[in-house]
Amino acid sequence: MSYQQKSVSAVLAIQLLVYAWYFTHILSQVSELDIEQVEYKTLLMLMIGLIVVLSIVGQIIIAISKPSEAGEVDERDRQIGLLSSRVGGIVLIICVFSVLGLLMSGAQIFWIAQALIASLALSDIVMRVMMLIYYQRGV
Amino acid sequence: MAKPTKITNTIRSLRFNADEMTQAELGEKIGVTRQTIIAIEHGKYSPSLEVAFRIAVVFDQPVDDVFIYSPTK
Repeated sequence: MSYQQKSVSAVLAIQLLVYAWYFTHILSQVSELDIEQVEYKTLLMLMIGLIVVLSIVGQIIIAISKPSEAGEVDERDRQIGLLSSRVGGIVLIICVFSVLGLLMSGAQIFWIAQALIASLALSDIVMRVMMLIYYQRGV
Repeated sequence: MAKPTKITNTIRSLRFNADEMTQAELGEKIGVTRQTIIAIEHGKYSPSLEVAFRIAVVFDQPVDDVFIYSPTK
């Protein structure tokens, strides 16, 4: 497994865990409190911070485990990155249109915000899953 | 399942004939990772024209002796 593949796997695992943690917290608060009382902004900031910090730590651990391959990127990695970003972009567009639908149906700002966060999370996850598929299957 | 490609290559045998050059050594010479050499050898990745020429230069072979296009495959 190349450095890039390990790096993508690590970031994907971190994202899945942190997004799951965020949405579990949000949904548990929604079930207990009024939507106006749900404090999601702090959780959102914490979620972004956790993803950034844990991803950096993950990359450092991977780099230390095989320093000779650390940071190596070649044309195959770039091509896989581009193809995966395209798929992630399509998912994001579909999700954004769904959020627009929510907006037009008069949904509360809270739900629109959560739908946007979920859209970003989903497109990011799909992009990284596609990267792993392309690394495995070939491009 | 690997993506089907109509391009095959002789890199593995060329490496063997070049003092059993490793995939890592070849990758270093042409500026790609060992994993990319593995993917090229297994037909999972078709390299850019530039990388194809670089590989051919390393083995001092014409590019169409290294990469073989079989349209009927």
